Amino acid sequence: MKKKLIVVMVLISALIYLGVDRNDVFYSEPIGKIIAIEETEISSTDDVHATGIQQKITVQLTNTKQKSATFVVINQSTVGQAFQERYMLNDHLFLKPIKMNNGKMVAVTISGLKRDRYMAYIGILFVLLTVFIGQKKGVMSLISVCVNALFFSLFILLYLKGYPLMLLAVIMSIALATTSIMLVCGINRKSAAAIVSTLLCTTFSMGLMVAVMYFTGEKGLYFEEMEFMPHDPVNLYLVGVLIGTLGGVMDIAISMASALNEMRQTHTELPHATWVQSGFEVGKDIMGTMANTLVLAYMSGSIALMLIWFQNNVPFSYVLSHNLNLEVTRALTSSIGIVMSIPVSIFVSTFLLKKGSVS
Amino acid sequence: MTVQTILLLILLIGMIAVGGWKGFKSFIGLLSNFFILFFALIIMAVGVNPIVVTLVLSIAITSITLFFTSGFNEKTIAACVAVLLTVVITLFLTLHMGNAAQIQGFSPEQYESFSSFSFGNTLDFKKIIVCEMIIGLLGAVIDVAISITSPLQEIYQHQSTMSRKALFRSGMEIGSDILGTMTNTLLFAYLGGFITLILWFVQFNYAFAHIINSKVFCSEVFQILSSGIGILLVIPLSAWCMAYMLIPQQWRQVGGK
Repeated sequence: MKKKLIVVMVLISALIYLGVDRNDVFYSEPIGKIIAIEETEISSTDDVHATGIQQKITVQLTNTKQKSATFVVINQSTVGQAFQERYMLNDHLFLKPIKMNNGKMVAVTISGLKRDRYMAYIGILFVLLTVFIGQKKGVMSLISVCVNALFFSLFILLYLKGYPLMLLAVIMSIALATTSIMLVCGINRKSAAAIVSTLLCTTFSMGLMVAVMYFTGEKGLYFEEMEFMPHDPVNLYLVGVLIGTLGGVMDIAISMASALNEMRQTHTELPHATWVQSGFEVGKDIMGTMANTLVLAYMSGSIALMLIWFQNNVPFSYVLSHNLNLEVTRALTSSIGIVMSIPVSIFVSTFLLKKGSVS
Repeated sequence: MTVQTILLLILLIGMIAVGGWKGFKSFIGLLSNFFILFFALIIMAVGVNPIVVTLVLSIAITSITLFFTSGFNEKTIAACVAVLLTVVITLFLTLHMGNAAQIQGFSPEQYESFSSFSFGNTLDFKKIIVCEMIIGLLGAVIDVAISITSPLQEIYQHQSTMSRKALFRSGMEIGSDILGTMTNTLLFAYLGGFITLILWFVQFNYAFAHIINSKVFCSEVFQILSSGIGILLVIPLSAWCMAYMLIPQQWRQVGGK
């Protein structure tokens, strides 16, 4: 069965790989393939400090009724490519007609790069690696990711229909935690212990964060810096922190519940105090690396932005306070949740797993 | 008193209360990584090649996280080697694919925030995006690596007759166990920031075709998937490094000379 699964996956991947390159016809927007580029250096008009590059690109249409017609378009970019892109031969570009003549396009301009094939490539690589390295459990984790994505989409849909944000967030979190843990651990006391401890710790650390925010009057948090400014920045930020914390705490809770269960299984006559102490030993180890994981994951996204600020001589303290505040707070809240989940997991697990262990 | 300082204090107290001396060391390690990252940014801002900075930064963060908190021993050395190998491979992958997909820098949707800034010539955003991706996944990769080498050492101590191949297979078993939770952890971490983006897309009625081709969406998906790939790659690498470290030479067990 395993070999068949692998063969099937490789076949599907091959199909997607070949298909995504030729899916231009399914798009209604005109797409052109670059067949020639001529580059010249110009002084960029927008940005006096940057050197610009101008590309005179010849594209050949790959879809619409005017397939195979060629056009010449101009692309401007800077050397650093912060906003613009420097295209390469054989790229597929989305085009927008700017002059029509009797229903036929006479002149076009670039509206963007067609990127779906790269999404497909990296997606295929990810799925294939998961199946090869993770085997059956890898497939389970893929299913888990899909289920979570589904819950998340449902959450977004219902929120846009007008349901209260926080209520939806709480329900989604419980659903995410429960299904993820059960998919990994099965339906048994171990999962129950992990779920209870996850929900307790996440609630507590979120509550703590909200309390601290309340008592300091949100001093140090600058919601104006949020990207894609939404209508309700504070609450959406809280939901973001909630999900992030949930992920970290869940991981620790599962690891702790598994470890504690394993200990109990191999030494059925284990005295309670030793059990608890061993639990703390395991917890101490994983606490540090998990906190690191989250800190680095959250901060990585701000790197580009911080670099621009540094370049433009924004003082360090301002960068630290205004740019990183949201991410740092998120990291701290998640880390507090993680630290808390160790004693809580030990307490919950030793309580629930005492009567008979789980295989 | 800002929100951050209070939470920082609570975290410090918590880490010491739960972890004791080790917890305190973890806290210091966390702070050091933060400051090293900050310092690396300053260096990049004056024009040092971001790829070089990423590699040096990875070595620094990995060393502090592993050696400072858990000491210099077989499991940390094996984990460190595995992590660095993974970083190199993933870096190459991300550089190649990410640049082809042109996900660097910022998207048209973010233009307003930058209208007053100059970008100059020193920042090469094609390399910066690689730095972002690698640093984002570094923590998770270190976590997975030590989570495999540590139990492998325990297993070998209790059963020193195991062959290197069997040890490697045990490592892969452990790895596939943690694969699920670690992928989910990272997914959730990035999903938190994804919310505002998705809402933006939906509220402005972006067509599906537009979304999957847009730079900002693609760079998020790329980040999540390359993190996943990093985690996947480090599993066999750390299992192999540890097995090799514990059993440097295969020897015949029966009648061997």
